Amino acid sequence: MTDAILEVRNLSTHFFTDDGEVKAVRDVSFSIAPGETVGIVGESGCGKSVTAMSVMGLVGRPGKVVGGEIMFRGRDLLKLSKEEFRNIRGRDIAMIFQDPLSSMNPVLRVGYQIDEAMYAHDKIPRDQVERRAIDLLAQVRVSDAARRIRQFPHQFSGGMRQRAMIAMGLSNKPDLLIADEPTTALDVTVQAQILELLRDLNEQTGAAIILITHNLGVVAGLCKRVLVMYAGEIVEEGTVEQIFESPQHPYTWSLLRSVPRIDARRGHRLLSIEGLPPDLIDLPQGCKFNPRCPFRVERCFNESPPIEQVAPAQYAACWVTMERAYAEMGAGDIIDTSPGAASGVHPAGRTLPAAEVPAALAEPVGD
Amino acid sequence: MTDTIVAPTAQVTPTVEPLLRVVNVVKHFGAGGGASVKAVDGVSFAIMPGETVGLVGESGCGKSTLGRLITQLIPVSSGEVYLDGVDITKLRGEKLRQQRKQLQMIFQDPYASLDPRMTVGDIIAEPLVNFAMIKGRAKDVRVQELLRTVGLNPYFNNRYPHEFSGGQRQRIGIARALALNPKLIICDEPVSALDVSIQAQIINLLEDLQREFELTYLFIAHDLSVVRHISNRVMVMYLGRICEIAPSEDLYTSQEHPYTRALLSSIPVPDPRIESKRRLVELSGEIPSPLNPPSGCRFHTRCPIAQVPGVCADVEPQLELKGDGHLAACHFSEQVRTKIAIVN
Amino acid sequence: MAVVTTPIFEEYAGGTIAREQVGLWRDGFRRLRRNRLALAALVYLSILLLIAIIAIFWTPYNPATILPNTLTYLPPSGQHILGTDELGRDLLSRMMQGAQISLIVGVGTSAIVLTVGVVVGLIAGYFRGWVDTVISVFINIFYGIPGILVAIVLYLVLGRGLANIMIAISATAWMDMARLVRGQAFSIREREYIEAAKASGAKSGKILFGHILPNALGPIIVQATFVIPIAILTEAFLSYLGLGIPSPLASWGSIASEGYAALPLEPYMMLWPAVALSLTLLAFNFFGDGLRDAFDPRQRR
Repeated sequence: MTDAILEVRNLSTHFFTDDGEVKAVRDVSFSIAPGETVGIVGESGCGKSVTAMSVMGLVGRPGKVVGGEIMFRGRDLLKLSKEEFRNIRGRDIAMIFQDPLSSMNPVLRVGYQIDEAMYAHDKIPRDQVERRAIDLLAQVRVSDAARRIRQFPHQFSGGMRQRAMIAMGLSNKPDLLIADEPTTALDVTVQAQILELLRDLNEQTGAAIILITHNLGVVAGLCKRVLVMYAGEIVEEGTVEQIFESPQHPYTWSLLRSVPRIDARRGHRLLSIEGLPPDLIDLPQGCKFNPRCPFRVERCFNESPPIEQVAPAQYAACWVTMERAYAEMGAGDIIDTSPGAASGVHPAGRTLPAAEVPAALAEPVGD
Repeated sequence: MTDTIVAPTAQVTPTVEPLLRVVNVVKHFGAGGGASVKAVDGVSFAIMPGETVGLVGESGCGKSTLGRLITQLIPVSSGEVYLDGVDITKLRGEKLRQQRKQLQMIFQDPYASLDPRMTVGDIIAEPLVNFAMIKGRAKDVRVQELLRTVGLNPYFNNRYPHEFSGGQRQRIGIARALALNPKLIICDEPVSALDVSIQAQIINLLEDLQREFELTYLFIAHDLSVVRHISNRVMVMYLGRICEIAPSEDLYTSQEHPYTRALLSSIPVPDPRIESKRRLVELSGEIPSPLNPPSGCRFHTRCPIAQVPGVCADVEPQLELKGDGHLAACHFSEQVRTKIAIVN
Repeated sequence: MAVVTTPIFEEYAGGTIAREQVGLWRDGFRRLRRNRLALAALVYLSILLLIAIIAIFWTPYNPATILPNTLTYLPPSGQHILGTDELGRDLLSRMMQGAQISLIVGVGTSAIVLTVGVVVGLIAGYFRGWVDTVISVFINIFYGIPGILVAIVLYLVLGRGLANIMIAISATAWMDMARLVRGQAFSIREREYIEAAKASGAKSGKILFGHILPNALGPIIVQATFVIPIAILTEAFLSYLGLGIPSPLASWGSIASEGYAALPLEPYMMLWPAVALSLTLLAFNFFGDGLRDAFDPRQRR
């Protein structure tokens, strides 16, 4: 894709902590087309936020981008000077955060903060700034914008604050808006309104949106394309229909079956992904999902699967893929979701003599 | 105030007594200057033995306060809470403490609800020690048994909470709640602080434990999908009052209160085809302050079908039976499904 | 050594605990070890403690007796390493005894302050209401009066003696501790694990001493450490004024006072207690700062 506005190639971001090197993002590549809405889904610690922070140039000590390129409209952001980066950040790429209260200055009026974002970049003619701030607030559906603009953040409700943050983000007509869990702190009714707002703004302004979230439902409603991250890597990528209807990575597949759905028949049991995500300092050999995967095979323990095309526009990093899991391992009627539960698995995966368990367990955790 | 409505008992076998009966419970917090926040304002319901009843609502609706009123962690302003026929709001001191054996709680934040200075074994044994039920070797055996019950390695009993992940900590909290073999467990947002894949583990565990130990749950959460999944009946709370109580099967298909319908329309479904058809019921304005709730029906300021001026602004609707085991507090419940569209 | 080739998730949920992690206390000590200044202070204080202990059993000469055939105001020499005082007593012996007195007063006062402050603070912070109001008003009234004044008056009323000097200093010093503990109790009692303890049937005593106190211990220990130099300084000041330890017991304060009188004749006599006092106060403060950085949760990264 040469017409992409953002192209991330082999991005790796690590954190150098007292306990060791946390490999938070490893070899992540993706691209965003103009006006596109892309969701990055994953659980906490999967690297989705660190990816966004890397793109924004906001990774601070002890973190460091250790490799890769972030091409924004043909220029590598990682090679820019601080000054040049600052000119792009907030002007061409804007970001909105999970907690609008802590990302706004409590002692400055909301209007002033929106104005400031515009003055900082000189993209909007100075005489239009104040008028535009009111228009923006109205555009994000804050009623009585002309009065509201003179209020302080604490006088806004949570939903209103997030709207004001979005107005601030949009003030310089960015080409790309990165929304990091923008609705997580909000009630569902407010969440729905914010998502609808983002959808409308995408259509009206043509700004591409990267939505970072752990909530699969939110992605299904807003995004056209989805990246699924696990343990610092992209494990699957595809259109929203592909990801939700024919996921090929066992993690995506399991995740979709582990959340209760409001429209589901009652009485069915949730599929749970047993175990925990891996320690990012001490990663497992082979596929990073293998310790929790019901469909793992011998190869998964040793070799890390590359992300490969599995269907038009769909990519997955898996040696098995769900297509094979359905055909050969009976994934359709699987109930037991413990690692290696499906038939045709690595033989050492399941059976461990019961008598050995305490000794084996006591060992890796001993002081 | 409302009269005491305990209708849900009617639809179950009348000979079975409810395990928990909450009658017209009110909690007003002083807010200075003579004002008071009406956090819970006249709530009545009953829970039958072995049942899971869900309680949903948005932040500030009073659902967590209600949970703490039932456990007597905070005293009620008025009203009664009958546990097995005994009004526990009238109990004080040692008698109240003894009552806690029946009634345990699982907390929202698995990081904050475990004392960081205590070992996991001591945390789980604390209820047993408090009631001097068990000592020494027998205590260790019981703790290990409880750890195994909640799916944790029994040899972790001398570890500290910070060494565990969120999901594992929540299991520790569950083990503590199970220690006294309680009849009723109040689950206060037990999965909302957890990651998606871990939520399923905990929900499944709670379901398994219920079957194994014949537990009764009051499951409090803001996520209607989770609540509906685990509960037999769901209660929807808005601004200190219950506006609808419905069997979980009915909830998705038939809503008798406009707020429930709006709530339902807001919940994203992980299915792009359904999402593209879903239509949001936009509620006007913000949730009013519980310092000064609206007159009449509390929801009338935001309700898409309210008659204002009219009955909705003047008369507070009471919970009434609208169907089999289905109660709602709305003057126009028959119009909810015809007048409010949630699908394009 | 059983070699586990495959992760064991079959038997237990998240069978392993993430990574081996250090306990809260051990983590604190690890950070303390990295603080060079605090470590140096600790070494100095250990030596001081050793000297004070040795002084119980042995000093070069009897610090209280006027040595026969010895001149007064002798400068340091091989026989009297630090010289002699106005009565011909051995200064090294007297300084060693002074170290003993200083440490006893410092640690003793700190212990009294710890006990009174913790109990009063916990009660005020946990039960709140009128108990808290009474305690807070009392503390606030006394805050307006200089502590040293209270100590002097009280000491004169109680009469001279080592125990009385500690009581006199504690009379105001416990208030800071009580305020700190009250604040800690205030915040800790709102944590969810306290609610959880109540829900599992814990009585008030158990909640206070089993949950709140252990979680407030870090800041309490830090505060108790800072009480020690204050007490040492106050004792020295009282002794300097001639109000302190009754002679012939030696205190750094009284040696300094006598040394000041003899300054034109013998400058060393003033120098030794001044140096010892300064170093000790510095050491306690550096060590206290180190402890605070290591154990006070507010300083956590």
